[in-house]
Amino acid sequence: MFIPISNNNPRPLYEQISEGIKTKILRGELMPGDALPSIRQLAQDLKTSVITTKRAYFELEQQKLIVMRPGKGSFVADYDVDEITSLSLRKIQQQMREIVDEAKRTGVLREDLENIFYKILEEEYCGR
Amino acid sequence: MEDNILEIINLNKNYDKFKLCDINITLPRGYIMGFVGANGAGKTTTIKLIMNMIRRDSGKINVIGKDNIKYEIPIKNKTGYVGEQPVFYDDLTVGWTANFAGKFYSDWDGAAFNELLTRFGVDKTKKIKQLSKGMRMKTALAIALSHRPEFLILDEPTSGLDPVIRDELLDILMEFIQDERHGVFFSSHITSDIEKIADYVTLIDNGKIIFSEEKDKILNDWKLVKGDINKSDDYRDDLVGLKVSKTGFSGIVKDIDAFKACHDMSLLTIDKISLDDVLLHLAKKENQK
Amino acid sequence: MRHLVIKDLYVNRKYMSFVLLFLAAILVLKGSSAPMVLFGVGITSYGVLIRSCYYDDKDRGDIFLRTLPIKASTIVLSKYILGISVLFIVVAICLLFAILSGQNLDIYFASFAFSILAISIVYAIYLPIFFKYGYVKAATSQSVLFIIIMGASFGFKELINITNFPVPVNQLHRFLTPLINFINEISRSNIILLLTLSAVSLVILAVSAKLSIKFYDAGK
Repeated sequence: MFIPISNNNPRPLYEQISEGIKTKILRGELMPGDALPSIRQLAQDLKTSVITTKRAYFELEQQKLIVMRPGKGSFVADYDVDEITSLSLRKIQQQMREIVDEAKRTGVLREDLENIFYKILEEEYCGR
Repeated sequence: MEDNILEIINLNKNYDKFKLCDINITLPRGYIMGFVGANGAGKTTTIKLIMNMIRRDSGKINVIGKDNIKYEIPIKNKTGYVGEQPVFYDDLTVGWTANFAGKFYSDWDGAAFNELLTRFGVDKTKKIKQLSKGMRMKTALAIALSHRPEFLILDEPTSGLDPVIRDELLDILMEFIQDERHGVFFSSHITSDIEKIADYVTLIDNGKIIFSEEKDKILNDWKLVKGDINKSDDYRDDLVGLKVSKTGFSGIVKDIDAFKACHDMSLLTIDKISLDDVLLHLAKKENQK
Repeated sequence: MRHLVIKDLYVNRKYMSFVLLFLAAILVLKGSSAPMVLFGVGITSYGVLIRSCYYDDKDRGDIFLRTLPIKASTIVLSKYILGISVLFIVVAICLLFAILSGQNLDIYFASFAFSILAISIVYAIYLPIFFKYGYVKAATSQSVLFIIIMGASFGFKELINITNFPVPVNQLHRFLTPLINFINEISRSNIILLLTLSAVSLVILAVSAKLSIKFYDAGK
């Protein structure tokens, strides 16, 4: 399983891994019931420590995206789409608030902020 | 008890000019511990004590749940060791050496050894003295892995080797650790190797353990703080291992939130920390005085 | 243990074959004589032992051995067994030559007896030094030791020859009489001499081995 991780990314590795898997699940690349690689196998594949992948899986389990069955392995959970969506909406809202705060603090104009936002939307959603 | 593959309790060893002081290390089964420190910090001495190649003065060492002196033979039977400069008899071939070593292990697997040699590209018929440093390390690794060990001890296995071989070694170690009964204790001053795959990191300096912790905890929680030289004194009390250079200062913060609460952060930069930063700031303190 | 001894023999295979060939050449060309046998047996077995110690030191094979599941005492004892094995091999070869050339074996037994004693004493002194101080320091004393011991053993052998002469009556006489009587007793038959001195050698080696193990353990 390929998950993009980078040492230059300021976010902790385990978060990068859990986010990577989460993305795969939400995009439907991994379906409920699908088996995930074992914690140790994933650590070997990504060349990270076992503790790192273990923590990534725990995070995903807490978000109810996967279930870990001792002795059997980990599987994508029958997650509630609405719950996941509202969870990520809440997170996005919070992050946006932080961005706006930062803009205010540094004196960036509302207009410029909007322009940046639309430009990014344009780039990211272009052709979809 | 059984669940720790290595347990070192209050270990002491005195030499004329150097001493290991109250070493405590615990490594649970299923994990890799990186053992870092500057040259001469006491890494090799500690490893030799674990292998019972030298006698401890006091303290206790349990390997695979058993006292390493009392149960030396059964422990070595289940332990693979790779030294900094793997040593064998120069005039013997790789095959002869392995065959000889295999005679002493109860679970020697000659077929597995041959497979590993093929994989590593080591010629069995070559004499030890004809091998490069990398090939020697691979031979030692193949021997260490071919008697079905539970515990691997590696003393600076990567020093002086090129990145390709080092990467291969990391692969092998990750493969070995797929069995959660196994454990790896591995010393290196090349922190990038340890930063990748180690679950735990132990830092030794001048014969003392500075810390022995989960690697992720260190890399995620600790931060590197940098700032302008004029201000360094303001932070002296709250930064660990403060280093001052001509242009600025840097130091480690273990609890960034507490630090933020009492300092103006606008003059400082906060960085993700690397093991190298940790080593640079926490080891060899005497040089900074 | 067996594998350690075989390893030492194998590491020394070139030296062994060279020396044995040399020994054979002398025996064939010059015909064997007792002092020659004594010398050959001595130099060969001593050489192999020293060289195996040398290899353990130079290649740091010792460190390799210590990582294997082998008891420290086994590592130490293997050197003694090696010494004795080589001694046996060389003695056997000389004996074979003597038999083939139809010589009187009796004088050989006497030579063997003193060779074995002499070499055992050399081993018994050398090995503890080696295990305590390592090859380099042991090497400095080895040559001197070798010459003294070999010289002394020749002297000892001469002593037996002169014991038939009347010894001047003095203090020395009273001290030496029991010893001389003992030597006379055992040297009446060269086979008994061989057996007795071999037994004495074994005792000396056993004491030395115990010392070596102690040194090796403490030196860690």
